Amino acid sequence: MLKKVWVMARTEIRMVFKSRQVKSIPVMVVLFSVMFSVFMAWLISVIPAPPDPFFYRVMMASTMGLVVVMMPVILPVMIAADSIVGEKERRTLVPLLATPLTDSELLLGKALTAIVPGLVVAYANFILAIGIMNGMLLFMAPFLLWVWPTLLDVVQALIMPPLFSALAVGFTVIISGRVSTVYEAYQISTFIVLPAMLVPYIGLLQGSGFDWLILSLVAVILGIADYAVFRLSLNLFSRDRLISRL
Amino acid sequence: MITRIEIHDLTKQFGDITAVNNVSLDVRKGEVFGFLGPNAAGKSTTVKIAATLLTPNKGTVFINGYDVLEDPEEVRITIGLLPEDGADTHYDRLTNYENLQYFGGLYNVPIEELQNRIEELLEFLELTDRRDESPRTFSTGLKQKLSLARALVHNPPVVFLDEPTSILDPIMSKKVREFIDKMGESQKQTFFMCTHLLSEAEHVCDRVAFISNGRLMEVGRPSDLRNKFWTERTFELQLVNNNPAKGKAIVEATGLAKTVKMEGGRVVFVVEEADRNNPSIVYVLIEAGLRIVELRERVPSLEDVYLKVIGG
Ligand SMILES: Nc1ncnc2c1ncn2[C@@H]1O[C@H](COP(=O)(O)OP(=O)(O)O)[C@@H](O)[C@H]1O
Ligand SMILES: [Mg+2]
Repeated sequence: MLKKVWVMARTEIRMVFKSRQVKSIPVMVVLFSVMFSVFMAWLISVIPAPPDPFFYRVMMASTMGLVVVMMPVILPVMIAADSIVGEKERRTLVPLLATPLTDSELLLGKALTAIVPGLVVAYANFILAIGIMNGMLLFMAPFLLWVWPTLLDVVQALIMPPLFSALAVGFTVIISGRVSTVYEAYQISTFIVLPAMLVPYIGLLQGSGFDWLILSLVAVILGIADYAVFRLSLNLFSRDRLISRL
Repeated sequence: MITRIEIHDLTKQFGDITAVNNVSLDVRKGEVFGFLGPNAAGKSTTVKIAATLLTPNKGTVFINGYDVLEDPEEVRITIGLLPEDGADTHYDRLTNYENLQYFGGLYNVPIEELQNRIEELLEFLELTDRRDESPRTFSTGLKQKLSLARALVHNPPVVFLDEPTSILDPIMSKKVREFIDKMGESQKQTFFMCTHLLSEAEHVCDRVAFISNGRLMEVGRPSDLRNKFWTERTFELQLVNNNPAKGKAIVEATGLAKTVKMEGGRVVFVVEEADRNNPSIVYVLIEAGLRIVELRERVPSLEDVYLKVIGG
């Protein structure tokens, strides 16, 4: 079962990265994390008093956390919006639905296609920022070296993006299977799903950034929500409905 | 006899339209079956139900013994599909080779076998040179070839082709025909082919069904259908020195032909029980001193049968 999902996600991700918009995203992210680190370093160098390490870590954790996680929500939602209605518009859906893929394999494949590129970008971005930031601190403010990230910051940056983007992607794939144009799917996901996701997300992120217990709780809740949305998308999935409306 | 496709009291409605109306039909192992009918007859809808893409309102289809409603996954493993308007159903962001590789992968074809199979199909369809191009650059005919390759990439026992040769050039459709013939014979693959091209169906299909307005009108071998609808047979007679008037008079005088007329220098006559009457007619002609160049039957084409069943 997982083999077919992997064949599907791998092929689709390859296709996703052939689109120009998506291609430019990693470049933008790298640029952003370089610029951000340079800006932080500049800030540290200009303030007269040596910065408070605690304050420095909070600032880094919350700002970086946001950047790290925005990507895994925005990029996946854009890919997921296209996932079903896009194939319908490009007329590739019928042959795909006629392959042995089961409903859950198909939905899982679509979800992975949307989640994986965002995760790669997010993790790369996180690692890059850690390297650049601490590299600069080595010369500028050695006492701040490795204040950020803490272990908690690292664990949070690893587990929050997949858990959260799975939720956003789950909703968006459902929408993509029920609208009739890609345009509509983009509209709904940009103006409804993304804002609805980002607000609780920022809250959860800030809340979970300081405490292992809160982080674990948030992770468990998100995990359950992910599973529930997946079940929902499975229940709503119908080949007949998708084909009848072609 | 093994039934590969069993369509059972199948009915499908779209709102007020009954696209398929109580159709029952069996297709056997190794058969090339033609599903013929005008536009909007319900051909594609039937295929989509058989491919588990649409759910019927009534009845069901069994593929290789698997019920499309109970075991849709098993059905999808068993079939290959060239869908309606199949030319435009490829991934433009993949090469032709990758398109085939993707689908083969979804059927879990072992990698080495898959590579050989794709090479073989590309070679046969004369696409080898263009394997690394995107189907976007292809003409409709070439895209249709790729669709055919995709339907066959996992070597399925049952293949559905929805209007497969409609846009292939004549040379290619001849090749496809040969290929289907070969597959049908050597691999005992079953082909279910929707088409409105009757001359092609006549050449390639072992049996055909006529469908119109969702209803099954006739099923049978093309020759059997012909005999069913033509109890009388029409013959053309050509005489030395082109003397059709005299020939016509003599054939008329025998009283054995139902009608006799002249057409383009030939005598055309219709008889019942030709096996008994034709020898007598020929005997009388020769006795009268006429010399026969040719006597041949005007065989009604499948198209004539079709027009009688559906148009008439
Ligand atoms: N998704 C659909 N929604 C509504 N009507 C449909 C749909 N698909 C097919 N039909 C109707 O069902 C009838 C049969 O269509 P179809 O099976 O495509 O015929 P064919 O393939 O023989 O041309 C037509 O009248 C067509 O308009
Ligand atoms: Mg059709």
